[in-house]
Amino acid sequence: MLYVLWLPLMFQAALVVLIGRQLLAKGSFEWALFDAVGIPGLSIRLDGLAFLFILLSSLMAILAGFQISNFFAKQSSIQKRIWWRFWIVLLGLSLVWTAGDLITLYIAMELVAFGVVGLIALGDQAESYRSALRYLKAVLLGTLSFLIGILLIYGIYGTVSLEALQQNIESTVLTGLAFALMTVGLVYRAALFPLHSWLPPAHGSSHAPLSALLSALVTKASFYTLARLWLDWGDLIGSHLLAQLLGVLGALAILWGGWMACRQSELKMLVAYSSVNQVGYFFLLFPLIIGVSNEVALLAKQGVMLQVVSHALAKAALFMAAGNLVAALGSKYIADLSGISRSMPLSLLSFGLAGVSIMGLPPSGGFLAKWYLLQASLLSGQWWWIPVLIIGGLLSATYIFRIFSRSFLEEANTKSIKIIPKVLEIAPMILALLAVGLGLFANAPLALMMIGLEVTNGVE
Amino acid sequence: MALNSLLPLWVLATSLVVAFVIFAIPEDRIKLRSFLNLSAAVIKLLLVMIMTWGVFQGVFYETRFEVAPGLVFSLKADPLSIVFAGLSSVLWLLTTIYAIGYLEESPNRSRFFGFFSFCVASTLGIALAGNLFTFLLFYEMLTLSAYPLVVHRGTQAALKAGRIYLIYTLSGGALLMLGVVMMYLHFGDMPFVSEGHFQQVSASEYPMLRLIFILLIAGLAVKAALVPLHGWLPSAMVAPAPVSALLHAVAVVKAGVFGIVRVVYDIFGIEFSFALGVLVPLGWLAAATILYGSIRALYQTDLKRRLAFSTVSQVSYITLGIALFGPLGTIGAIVHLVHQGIMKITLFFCAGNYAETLGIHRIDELNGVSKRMPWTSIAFTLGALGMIGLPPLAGFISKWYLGLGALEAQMYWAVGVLVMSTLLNAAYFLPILHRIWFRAPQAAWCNTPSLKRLECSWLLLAPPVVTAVLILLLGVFASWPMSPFSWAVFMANKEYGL
Repeated sequence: MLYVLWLPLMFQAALVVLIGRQLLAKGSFEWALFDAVGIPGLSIRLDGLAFLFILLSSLMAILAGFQISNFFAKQSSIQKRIWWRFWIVLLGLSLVWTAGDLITLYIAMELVAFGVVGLIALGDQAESYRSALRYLKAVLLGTLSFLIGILLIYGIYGTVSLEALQQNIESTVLTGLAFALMTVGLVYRAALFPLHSWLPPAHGSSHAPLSALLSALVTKASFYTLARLWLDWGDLIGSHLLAQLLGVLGALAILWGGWMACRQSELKMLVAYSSVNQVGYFFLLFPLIIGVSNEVALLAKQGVMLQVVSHALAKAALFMAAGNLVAALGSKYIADLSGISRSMPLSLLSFGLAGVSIMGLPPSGGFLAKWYLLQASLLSGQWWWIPVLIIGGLLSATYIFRIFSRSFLEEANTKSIKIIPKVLEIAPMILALLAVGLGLFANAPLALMMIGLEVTNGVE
Repeated sequence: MALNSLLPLWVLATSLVVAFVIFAIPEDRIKLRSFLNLSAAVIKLLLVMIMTWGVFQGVFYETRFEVAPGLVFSLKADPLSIVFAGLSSVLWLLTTIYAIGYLEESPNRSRFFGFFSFCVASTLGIALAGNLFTFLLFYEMLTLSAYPLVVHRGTQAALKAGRIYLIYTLSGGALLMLGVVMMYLHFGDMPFVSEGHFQQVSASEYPMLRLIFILLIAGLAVKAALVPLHGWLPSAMVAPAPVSALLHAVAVVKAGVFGIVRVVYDIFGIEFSFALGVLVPLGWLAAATILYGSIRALYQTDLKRRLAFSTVSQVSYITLGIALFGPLGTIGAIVHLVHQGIMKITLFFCAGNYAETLGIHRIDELNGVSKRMPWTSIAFTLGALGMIGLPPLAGFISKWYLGLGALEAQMYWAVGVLVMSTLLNAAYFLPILHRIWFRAPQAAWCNTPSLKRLECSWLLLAPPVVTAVLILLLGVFASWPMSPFSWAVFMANKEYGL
């Protein structure tokens, strides 16, 4: 048995249950290793939103871990080298979700980056090394900007505790600069247009189950951090202009990513560009929480949270299903997909169900997300996001249906399609069904998200 | 009580569960798949019958739960849902039998029947949707699940038709969604209730409501194939015959019209829609579609394409009936929803039989076909005459009430449209009938001895014969209790508070 997978998973599950009970019983709470105020230290803040992401990454750890353990041959060298990188990424992610101060946050993000570079480099072609290096460069630049921002904040306020900063932070030029630097750094790491070009090769060239993990969780880490900072401080120091700018870049990402996905000839590159497209929706959060009524802000938060979670589930399903299709075909090109619906119906169905969420069609988490974002745009009078949301949906439909159109084509050729183990078709189906199911059962995750959120948003 | 609150869900689950099971069983388990398909269809029909009886007795069926704060998923059975659910479940059973016969020996049947069941589940969901949100949910599900059926043959032509279909329906869906979102934002949850929600709304809300109305109707009009949004329907004819039959009679096209019925009667309310001044433009649009579809049908040489343009025209009778402000027009609209479905499915079954048995696709190949395929030809004739509106067939009942409705509403131009359209119907159907019955048969297949006793497989023959008999029965016994006509009267009385 693969003890390097199952032992940590069991430990993780126990921890999740423990803190989950604590959260539900007592509400959000904080915990610090060094208790003295002002000293940079390891501290944890756990509220509903953080817990939701812990649940998400635990789920992903189980399913991606399961997929990885079956995808690679049992005695292959990858099986030996992969697990410590896998767990470093997940440890880093758990810290990102729960960091209570900027230094912890910084360390957590570096841990994630460290693990991810290792994972990308596992791909066996020279291309993977190039992608890994390119990724490393993007991450280092982004993190540098983020770190300068942190140092500035520490210089001004003498603390890095998010709790303390929320009480003390003021709108000054220097704080604004620090905030802008942190935002830019995180935007780079989140692969927002036009700083996205490192993402598609990194996700497209690594092994499918790893791409699933990367696109489902790692892109979310930087956005999550950015969103939390803006939710904490945005009302005080976030400028309307910067918020609108982030929204506009998000809109451009939706259009550009969608357009590029429509033009890819490789299946996994299409899925990777779809991430650029989907990440764009996240950034509509900023214009819709700054300088608007509480009602709009709530709708925007619910919409973006649903978008993030459903994208994580759906995109992981897409990558895993795409990996199965590519493995069965022995070709990475979309043009070779014809007739695959006969031999791999289950993987194709998973791809389709996940696609429903990506397109934002009901019933799916992606649909509810779009529903809330449309409402927020209408209610705030920022009508210009509406055509973006609609055209973005149609673009997504165009690239998803490219795959189906191809695979339904009946050609008189005799292709040899490899039989792949059925066990590889389980995880993508579960993920796709969850992405769809989120559209019918969103009450619980939304309620969970609200625990402690009003407080951290500065609304008493 | 628990049973009553779960029955609508069960009706849906019969085909949804079967869809997943069919995907999972191997391609070559034909007997098992046919058994599952047929038993699900029969069970669904029985459940709908139980529900029909219950609604008749005044039992209230609703499945509801909260999807997200303020968003309710609701399935319920009211008289209008029963009309549509009844139609779908009857025709589903027949189409399943037909499809099993039609697709014998062809590839990808597992995929076909899987999506076929999804499609029916979505249609039933549309029928039973208790509010706008749930309606939108199933409406888009239908868009998606019908796509694999349209492109089933996998030829370049089929894939092109599929693309056109998606461009139209997804764009329409986006408009519909925007309309629904605006409705929820300004007016909250929108359950379907007779007489609508807006009796007491102030005049300052009128412009917003008009905008929402236009968005909703524009979104629905794509599937309902109202001119100029009908372009996808004729090209979708490349689909296999059972799919065309289903698409034209119950599933996609009907879903659009059914949505228009719901929006006008149960969201805005017919009297408020009239006050809002949106009914007359809707009527004009329907009238234009009726005439346009009929004229285009005249010029088609391909049998299925002629039938497709005939659908464009005939389905808009329903929209016209809605736009006629008055109970008689309502009766005409609702009853035509059912009658058109049964007549059109008969015609498509027959067209499929001609194509499958004799390879006939063009109208000029039909000469004397009655000698070779008498039963199919009789069924086709009943369907065509019904479409023209010949008494005592089903089509006569609906046209008669639409005409009365137009007179009652004093919209005399609508009477003119109906007369014109009837003449056009005759002009494009009678020549076909003439060829079938009175022209000399073509030598090629006339002399081929029929090996079987029947003219084609009974799986292909039984469904059109059954629906043809229904066309006759629904016309002759229209006034019997529980007939579609009686339900329509029942509903119209409720809507107008009579």
